[in-house]
Amino acid sequence: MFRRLRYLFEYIFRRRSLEDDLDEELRTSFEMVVDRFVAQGLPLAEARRRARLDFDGLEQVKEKVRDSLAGSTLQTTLEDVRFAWRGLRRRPSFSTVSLVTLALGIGVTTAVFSVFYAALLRPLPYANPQQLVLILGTFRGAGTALAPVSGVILGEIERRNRSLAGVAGIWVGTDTFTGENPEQVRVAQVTPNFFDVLGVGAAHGRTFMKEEEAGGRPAMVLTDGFFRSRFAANVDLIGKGLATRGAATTLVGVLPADFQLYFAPETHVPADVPAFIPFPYNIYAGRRDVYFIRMVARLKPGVSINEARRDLDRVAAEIRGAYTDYSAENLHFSLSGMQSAAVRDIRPALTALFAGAAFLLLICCVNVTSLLLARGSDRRKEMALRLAIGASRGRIVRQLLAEGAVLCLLGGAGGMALGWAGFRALMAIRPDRLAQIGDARLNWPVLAFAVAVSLGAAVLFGLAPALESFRLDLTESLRAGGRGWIGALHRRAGGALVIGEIMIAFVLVTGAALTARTLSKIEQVRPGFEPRHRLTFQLAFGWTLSPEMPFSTIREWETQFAALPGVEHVGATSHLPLGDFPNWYSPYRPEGITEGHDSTRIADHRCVTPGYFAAMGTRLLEGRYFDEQDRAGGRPVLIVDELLARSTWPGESAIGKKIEAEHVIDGGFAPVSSVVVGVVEHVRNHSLTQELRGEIYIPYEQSPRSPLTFVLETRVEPLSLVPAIRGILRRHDPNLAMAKVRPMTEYVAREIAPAGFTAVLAATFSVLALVLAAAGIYGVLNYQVSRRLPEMGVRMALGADARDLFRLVLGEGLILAAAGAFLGAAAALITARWLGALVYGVSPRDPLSFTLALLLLPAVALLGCWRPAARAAATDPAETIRAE
Amino acid sequence: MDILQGTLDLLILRTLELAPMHGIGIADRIHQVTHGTFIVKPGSLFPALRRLEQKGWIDGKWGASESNRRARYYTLTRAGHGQLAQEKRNWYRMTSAMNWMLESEG
Repeated sequence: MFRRLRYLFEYIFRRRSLEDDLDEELRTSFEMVVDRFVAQGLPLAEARRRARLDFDGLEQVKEKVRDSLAGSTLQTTLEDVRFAWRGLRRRPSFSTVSLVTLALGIGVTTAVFSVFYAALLRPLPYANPQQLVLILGTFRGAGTALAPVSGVILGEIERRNRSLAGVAGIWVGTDTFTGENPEQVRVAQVTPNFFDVLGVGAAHGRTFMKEEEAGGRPAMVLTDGFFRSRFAANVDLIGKGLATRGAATTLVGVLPADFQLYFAPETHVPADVPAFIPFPYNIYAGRRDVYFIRMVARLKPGVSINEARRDLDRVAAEIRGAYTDYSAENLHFSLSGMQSAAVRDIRPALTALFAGAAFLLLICCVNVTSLLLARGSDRRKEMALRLAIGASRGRIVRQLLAEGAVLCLLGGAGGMALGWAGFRALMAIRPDRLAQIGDARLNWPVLAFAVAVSLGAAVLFGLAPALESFRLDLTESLRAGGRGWIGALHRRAGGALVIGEIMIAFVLVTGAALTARTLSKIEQVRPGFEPRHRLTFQLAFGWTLSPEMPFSTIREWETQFAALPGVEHVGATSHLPLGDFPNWYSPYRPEGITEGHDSTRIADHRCVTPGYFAAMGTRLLEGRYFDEQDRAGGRPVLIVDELLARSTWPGESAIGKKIEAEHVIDGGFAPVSSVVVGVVEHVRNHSLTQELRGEIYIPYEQSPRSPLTFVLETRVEPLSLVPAIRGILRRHDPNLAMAKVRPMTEYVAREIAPAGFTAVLAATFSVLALVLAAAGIYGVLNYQVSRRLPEMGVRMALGADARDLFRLVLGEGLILAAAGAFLGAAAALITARWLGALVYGVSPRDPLSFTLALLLLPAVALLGCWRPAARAAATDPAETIRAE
Repeated sequence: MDILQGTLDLLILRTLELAPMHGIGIADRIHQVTHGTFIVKPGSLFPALRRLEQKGWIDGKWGASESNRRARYYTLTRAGHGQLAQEKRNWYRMTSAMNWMLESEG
């Protein structure tokens, strides 16, 4: 064993001397044989001839010796690789096209799948995340919408369920940390068991305890990120008091660095909430019709989500039996797995993108296959020749494998680089809704998969010529010049490959056109306000739903802001459209319409100051805006939007009608009968693409809420006003922090981002697909033309002219393209069914998008056909016939 | 006559058991002792020599030939002796088995 190893070692490192030894030994042996023939009386020349016959080729003997040795495999492999490398460099166009194709396929698939995995497939970073479910309520008034619930309902679920190990509630508000740099942040109020249900422990300190319920003992838990940024990760602060504008509180713990919330978008619970406190009041004793608590629950071990659904159906029935108002609301619960709910919104887009990437990989493999097949057929003659001069079949197979491997190694490396760059790019342009995938990484398994797929294709089809040459008689294939089954296969397969490519490209192009049209439609949407030249920022005054509001101060600020140079109008609202503050929507009751189940209606509620609509540019349709008379203590008035007005009083004017609508009074919610004084256009509060529900606006001073978001219409660049505004606020209260200082356009841009993301990627994919399809057509046709040069020569000799041949080849290419486009149109019509969730304002079968694809693809096909056709037209009959 | 697959190693080892020899010497010796039945061509001889050397059964050293040329002389190593003994046993067992088979009646 040792000896063999030594030999191997010598073989690798002292190969030169071993080779010399062999040369020397063979040479001396040869001389010896010559000597012997001379001794037998033959002349020297004859002796040498006889000796050579004996040795039948010194080189072949050497080759055999080398083959018999350990270590030779390694050696020949290195040689094969070197040879393959030289071969690839000799054919730069073939190599470049194959490498770029492979790298594209591998890179794009890897990048997209990495995002896909991080967003959709990766388990949530909680203990046993598959046991976590979100519970939302459905109320008759809310229609089909899934809604948060009241504290009473949460309590009833806790008490009556048999399938849940724990159920927790959360509501996200804001508070301001006071001190040197006052900072306003989101603060979530949770039930004390919240982190236990999620299965998340504190990294420092602890999470909440039962005694901290309902303000029993103030406590706060911070995320790692906020703890670092605001408190320099000073663990000595744990157990000490924290200064906030809300109630005095104590820092009890810090969460692990990777902690993040993963609530479904419809719950309006954002991903990054830096601070948590227990609900500071008894939620179970609150009003029954204030729905604000979002619930997350953990299933008992062994309980399936369907069993839990049945259990909660029973609980809902019991609650309906116990409370007539919930019975009237026809309360039900809806459960969804936390993981699947978190990604429901983004899933269609990502799935479509992933499908697009997979299609691209497919096209890439098809192209590489086609290139290798064409190349392999060209090399049949070479293979036959090498077999004839004594290369072993194993050696030839190894060589072809080496070529495939080198190609894939380089392509894989390129793909990896491209995948990494693409992944970074995707992460950079990802919309907010993908923000949850915070620490996504490049996905190695999928990189390996993509490499393996392309490697498989390359090796398989790289080997084909060798396999073929073994089946055939050597001289036969030498003579035939390589027109065996590979040629036949390629003629047939080549056409099919091209058709497939065009088809896929067609689907991708229509998809891209649809997403681009969707994007432009979304950009043209009038959201119910004017986003340009608007500065927005949020101020929070305290914890509770209704703090002591210094109305005069707010009025004063508005006046001072309005006096700043460059400011046109000033107003404020409790909920900015498209903002991420949890929505306030509640039932309202139009008076004079008999009460019944159908008369309970739900609308978005907003408190606004008199200047708000003018500042936002929301148009008045009827009646008036709020004005100076609509103050605290004034006659209760409302403004409604056109949707609510139309649906509540169809065919009648809403002005003067009375509505019982929810107001914030003394820190709680109470219905107040109010008169409608104005109708404004509908504002798309939640999504640019949806008119979700009606809206009710209440004068701020009649229903004060915190936080309050100010809107300034400006003539100057909105953000340039920030220092002046900060100065005004400082003078009033150094502990007041501006949060979410943004131009209104930013909120709109964030809404457009997902559509932009999809459109950019779809456009990229379809451009790549078009280029690849053109390359594919070029490859296949070019190969076929080179195969058929003799035929072209004959045709020409028989009287066809260059134009005829040009048209012949072009025609063949275009027939393939037409077939591909036809199938592509069919496929696109079929896939349109799944695009419904991705398009807005256009039909998934949009004629314009299909027309675009129908125009583009033949153009691309023409491009691919051009050179092969020109080559056919340039045939020199004399030349080709002689070559045959 | 062609040499049976696998017997060339035995023939070479047996030849070297008697005295160290160079490659051509070994081929000549086999030819001579088997009365010309086996002709070992360089194309089989040299790969076999390298293979045996790599297995550690024979050892090649450069020396001077009878006609004063440089030649690579092979000697049987200890491992080679052991291998030879075992291959001999195998060979006898096989030939007897072949004989029984060929001479058995019905």
